[in-house]
Amino acid sequence: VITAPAVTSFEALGTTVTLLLSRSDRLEDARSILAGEVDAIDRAASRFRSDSEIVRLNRAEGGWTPVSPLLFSAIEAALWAARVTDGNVDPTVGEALRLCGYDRDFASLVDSGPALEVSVTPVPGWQVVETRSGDRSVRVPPGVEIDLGATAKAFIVDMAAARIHEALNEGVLVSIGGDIAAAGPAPAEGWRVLVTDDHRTPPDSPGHTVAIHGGGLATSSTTVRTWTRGGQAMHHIIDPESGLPADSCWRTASVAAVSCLHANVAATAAIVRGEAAPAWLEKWSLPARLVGVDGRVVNVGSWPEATP
Amino acid sequence: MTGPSPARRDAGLRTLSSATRWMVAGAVALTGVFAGVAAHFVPGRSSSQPSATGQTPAASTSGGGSSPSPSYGSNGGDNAGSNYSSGSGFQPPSQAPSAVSGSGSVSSGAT
Repeated sequence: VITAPAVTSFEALGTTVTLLLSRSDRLEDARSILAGEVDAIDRAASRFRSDSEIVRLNRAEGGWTPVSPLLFSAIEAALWAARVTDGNVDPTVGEALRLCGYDRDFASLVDSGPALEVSVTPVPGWQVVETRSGDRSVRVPPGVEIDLGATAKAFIVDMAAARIHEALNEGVLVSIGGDIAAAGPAPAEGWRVLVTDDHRTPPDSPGHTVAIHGGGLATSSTTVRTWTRGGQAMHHIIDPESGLPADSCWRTASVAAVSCLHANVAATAAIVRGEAAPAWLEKWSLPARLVGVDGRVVNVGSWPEATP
Repeated sequence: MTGPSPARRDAGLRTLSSATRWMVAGAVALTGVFAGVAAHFVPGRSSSQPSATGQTPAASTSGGGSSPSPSYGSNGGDNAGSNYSSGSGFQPPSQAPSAVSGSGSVSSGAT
């Protein structure tokens, strides 16, 4: 029985990476595995690294481009996300994000700036991205920019948690910027997670704390990673139908699922879907907590009520 | 001048009908052959690329507490398969979150 898991954190991917492990004497081994996975996804899928694979892919002018196994799987995951959400979470939002001002690493993004000329233009759509598993190649049409920001972190969280558990045979929880996956044996009362708007909120802050025993838990929000242009508030969750930041009735969505990727994709889709989100989440039997822009809280499915 | 006898006319019509059936069958067969050749030689969307929407919810098949993990060879291997090409939908956790009192060990919030 795990009593108090060992904890370590570091900064990567523009956010905080946290690792909880059931045994303190294997913590460094686990951290090394996690750091390797994080570095690998950064080199493969960062839109802001000139040497990343995805930048090369986006510049391939429509040619078939061989990619690494990691990027190929990450793109397949992003296409799965698009399909299962009926296009609410679409990897072809790269240009829309750039036109909305998110054109560099968020830490370097100027908080406010002059007005932008943007128009309601649907993104190209995930269906234009083609994959070929035989030679592990991907084709992105000219002018289309894919961005894996909505899925890549959750994808690598699942990967890292599974790898650490497999390598060390220990219970582990991995969090990258609040996207969480747990693998292996959990503490007796579960892994304790504070559910909040901003992952930077210290976990011992007052609020709604839940316990999970495995799988994934992820939160998407329009209140974090925001900027203004011409006085207009912008955020990073793009509605593919408009190519603009989603104008949602929800400010935050937290979802539990079998994996972090499932949870994260569902949480982002819930923001985009707006009022239709509770019924949609219910259809998939996904426990979820939605917080409206007016502060109202809607628990979906088997998501627990907050303890007094 | 006299026309063909009814018997000869019927025989001609039968021959024509039979020939038409063979032509239709041949056209269908050739269409299939051409489609197969085109599918083999012309690059297109992968069979792993999902195309359908409106999937029905999948029942939870998670047996334990571990996440399903897509596989890849990050260290140079060539296993590019993933769990995301099978057309599956969302899966709920094997155990729903439970509310607990006191502080957390980690925070789930947006980045």
